[in-house]
Amino acid sequence: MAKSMLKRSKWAQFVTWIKHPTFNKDKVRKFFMGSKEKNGFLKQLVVYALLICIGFVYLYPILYMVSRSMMELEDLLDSSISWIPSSLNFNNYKQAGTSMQYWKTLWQSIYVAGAPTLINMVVCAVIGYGFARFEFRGKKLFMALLIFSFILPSQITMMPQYVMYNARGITGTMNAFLYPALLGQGLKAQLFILIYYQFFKQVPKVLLEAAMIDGAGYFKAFIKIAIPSAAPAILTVSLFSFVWYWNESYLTELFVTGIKNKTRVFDLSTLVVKLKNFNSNYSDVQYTGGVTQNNNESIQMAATLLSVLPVLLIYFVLQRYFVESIDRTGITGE
Amino acid sequence: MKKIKNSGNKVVAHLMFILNLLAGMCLLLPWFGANFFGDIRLYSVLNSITLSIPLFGGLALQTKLGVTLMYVSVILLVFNTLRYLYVTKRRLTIVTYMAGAIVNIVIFVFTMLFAPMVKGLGGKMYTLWSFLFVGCSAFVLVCAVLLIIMKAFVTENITAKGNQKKEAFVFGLVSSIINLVLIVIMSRPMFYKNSLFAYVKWYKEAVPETSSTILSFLPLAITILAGATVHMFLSKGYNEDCAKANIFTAILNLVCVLLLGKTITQANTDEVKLVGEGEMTGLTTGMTLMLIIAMLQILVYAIAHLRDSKLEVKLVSPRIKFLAVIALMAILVNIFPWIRVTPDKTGYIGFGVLIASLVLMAVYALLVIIKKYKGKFVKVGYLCFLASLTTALYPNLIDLINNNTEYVGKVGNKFVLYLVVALAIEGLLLCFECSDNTLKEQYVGYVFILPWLAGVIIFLLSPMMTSFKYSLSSIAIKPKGMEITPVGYANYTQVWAEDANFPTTLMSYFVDTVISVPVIVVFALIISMLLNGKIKFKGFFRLVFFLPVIVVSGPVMGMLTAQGAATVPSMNVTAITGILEQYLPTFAVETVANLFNNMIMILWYSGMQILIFLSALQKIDATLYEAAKIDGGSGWECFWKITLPTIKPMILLNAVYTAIFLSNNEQNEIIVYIQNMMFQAGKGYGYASAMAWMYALVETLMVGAIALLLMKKRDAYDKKMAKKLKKMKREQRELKKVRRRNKFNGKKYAKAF
Repeated sequence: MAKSMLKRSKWAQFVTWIKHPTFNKDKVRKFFMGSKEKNGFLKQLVVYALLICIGFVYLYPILYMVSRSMMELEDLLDSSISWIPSSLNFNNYKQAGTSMQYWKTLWQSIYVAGAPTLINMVVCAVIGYGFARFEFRGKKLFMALLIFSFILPSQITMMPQYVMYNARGITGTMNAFLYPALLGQGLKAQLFILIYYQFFKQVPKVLLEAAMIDGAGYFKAFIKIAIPSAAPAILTVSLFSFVWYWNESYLTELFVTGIKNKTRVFDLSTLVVKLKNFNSNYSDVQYTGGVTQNNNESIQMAATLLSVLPVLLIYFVLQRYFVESIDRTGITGE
Repeated sequence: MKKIKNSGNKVVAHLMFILNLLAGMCLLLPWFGANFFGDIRLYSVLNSITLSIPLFGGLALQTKLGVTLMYVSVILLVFNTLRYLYVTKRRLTIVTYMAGAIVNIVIFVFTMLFAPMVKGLGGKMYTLWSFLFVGCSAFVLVCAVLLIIMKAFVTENITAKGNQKKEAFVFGLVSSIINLVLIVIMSRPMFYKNSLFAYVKWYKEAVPETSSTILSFLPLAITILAGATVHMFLSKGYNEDCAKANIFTAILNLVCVLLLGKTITQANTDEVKLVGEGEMTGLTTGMTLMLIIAMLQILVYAIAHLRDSKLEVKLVSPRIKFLAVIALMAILVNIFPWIRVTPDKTGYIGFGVLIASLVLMAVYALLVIIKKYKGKFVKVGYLCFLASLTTALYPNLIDLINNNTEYVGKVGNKFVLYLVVALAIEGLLLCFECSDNTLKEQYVGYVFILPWLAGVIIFLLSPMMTSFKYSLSSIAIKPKGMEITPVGYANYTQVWAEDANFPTTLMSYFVDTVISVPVIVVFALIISMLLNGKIKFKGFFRLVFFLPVIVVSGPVMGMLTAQGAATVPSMNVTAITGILEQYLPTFAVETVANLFNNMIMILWYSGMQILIFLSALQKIDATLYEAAKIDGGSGWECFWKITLPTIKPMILLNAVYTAIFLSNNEQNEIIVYIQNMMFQAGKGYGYASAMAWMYALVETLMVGAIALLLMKKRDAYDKKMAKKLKKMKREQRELKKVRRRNKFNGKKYAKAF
């Protein structure tokens, strides 16, 4: 009974307000400008507008890629079509795919990026734990060396490494990636070591000591206590390592696919490397196919999209972990 | 000194010893092989017996150095046996040691007598060499005598601790002596102008029926020698220590086998055929057997350990042992350069190192004898290690200077690997055994970071050295390999003075980075501030802003830039440039225009930074803002007074990260330039690495400057604290000094009265 009364009265209020609209100046101001507790509508508007604008700029190249890759040659030439192609056309993908030997190269890419990633994940954990858990002489020096090796441009060591690998006969095989990774010198391994370092520092020492009192050795404590609690760090490292190995083209070309050494033809290649040499590869493949097809930017865009598609998919599936991992690994310090 | 507690240990010790003995026997295999196959280098058993009677008297006349060394190792084996039998009587070890020294002196006096019979320059060298050998043997003798005297005088005072020190002393001494001998051998080119191989050639001509197995046997002999020494001085009875000493030998054997393998492969590829067929077979068999034995030994040891894992083992002093291992390894390192050919100039340096080593040894001996600095053994040991390491490395350095690239790094790299492996094994063992907890932690820490350390040496430091060397030379890539000719600093001068592109590219890189870093950081900060509020679809926005980190890579970016997708379409860059030109000087306009041109690139590079800022912002305590608001602070004030100071470290982190990322990016112009130069026919890699070094210098300076600029400044309180702490430390040191002096004076007076 009382409820309906209240309702009616509210309704009555509204009706009267409609009939004789009056504005409470303060209320309006509060709505637009916000108060100390709540952001105003205007501010919200500005924030969203900014975010959407910047977000669009971020997405622009990808949207561009998607739209362009669908276009036919006529659409490209037609100046009236700038974004939406006249028809959905997957022909470009087909051509780009055949020229890159997509499926074969995809598996190879996964192998090339995945194997060092696995090693990185394990080895960097061990090293990071060593730095975080133990105090030993020269630790500061080693840390400085670690950071220095991160700063140093890889061009300095690239050629001697190449010569060294060549002398040992490991260029053109996966070993050229696996061996350095095995010794904690993989791609951006310094960063991963630091991530693990930060993470393991947060694992309470008391926990490890308790385990040791219960009879676990150093290694057992590491495996049974530290590793299970480091799941976010492991995830971060493996994700980033995979993505960075995937995206690396120069070193892959130099060490693994061995394109510089023209006398030997290696079968191992990755999508990104294929993309890098897309234009020359394309004409080769298309020519041998018998039918000469013109290479155009739509096809190039399709190839680009194809080469990043797997990582994009991984990212969309695991994006929560990607984004939160930075948070949880404690790079930002506690 | 621990008595036997567990019979298992005894068994282990016996087993180990027998295995060692077997390993020693394997030494003789090549010799048997030579006999069996009946090479030109045939020796009858009778001959060898007759030779052994005057021991080494006939050395200079007809036998070979290899055989001599073989004898040495056999004798050492005998010593080892003796020691095994009378292991508790410590004096005996010293006596046997002395006897060895005396025998050595006798041998080499003989050698000196007969040496003049060998004609020419080689003879002279030989004389000098044996002279030096006699010198160091005499030194050993003197030291042994000194030791006995010391022991006689201080018998009552010898506690467990005293023993340790003496052990350290003796061990250091022995290692230095072995080092010394090696140095002497290495500095041989000073006396004899040609290389080792030439020497061997000459030797074969002069003494036709000899077979020079020096190369294969010396390392072995020295290893056994070192192993036996450790054996002697570290073990006391059938306890754990004994087994441990055995494991040292086992590891040494293992390393030795590796060395041998290398020697064999090296020796016979050269024009001089050093190892005969029969010997080769024997050598290979012996090697394989030794490998198996060493493995067995390690296995036995490991099993014994697993079985007795609860046994309370107290080491004499784990640190001293660790040191001992390091010194041993240093000796092994010394062997390596000896194997390879050294150029002429090495001799002089060798002489310098020799003298340095001598001085070090003298200082060491003096320190110990005076007994003033009781606690410094370890440090002196480290010095010894350092000296050995320098002796080991100097031929490589010399080759580096002389650009004799044939041998640089080849030996060193591989050996470092062996060294690391051996150290790893030893470190692991120490981890299991060490009873001192803090020390144990140290060892375990080293073991954990060991792979990284090895990686740094192999994949970072040694390539860096090589690259530096390359930058000082011009390199032509020939089908046979690289041809390196030294050009001094020409590459560097060329980079700056003659190259038209490099300085400008470097300059533009510098300006670009200096402008881009603040832009990216500020931009990332703004976005993260926006995202930090109460926003719907926060997850979606984060997803979008982080996307570039996943996609960004050289070829993809290249493709996009080529298509013009890197510019915001609705932004009219030319108009902006036009406006800017009115207000800014031209060089600034260019960079700013560039900034706008690559707007998307710059935005794309800030994905990681946004996330880092975001997580830092979320960790700021919300109550701080509430308190500020109650006090009447506006949002603007809150940002400057609360947000910014709290995330300042993150700003530093992001700035540095951005700078490094921009510098090492594949899209970076200068990187592309260097990479293009690398494979250019005209200038080649030497030139490119000179550029890379200059670039690294600039980059490091820049990153350093950024870090310095944003680093947390010390406030007045911190400064005061530091000052106070320093003062306290100084006072304490003074106090310690005064106390020590008082103690010393007190003793003096007590003696006087």
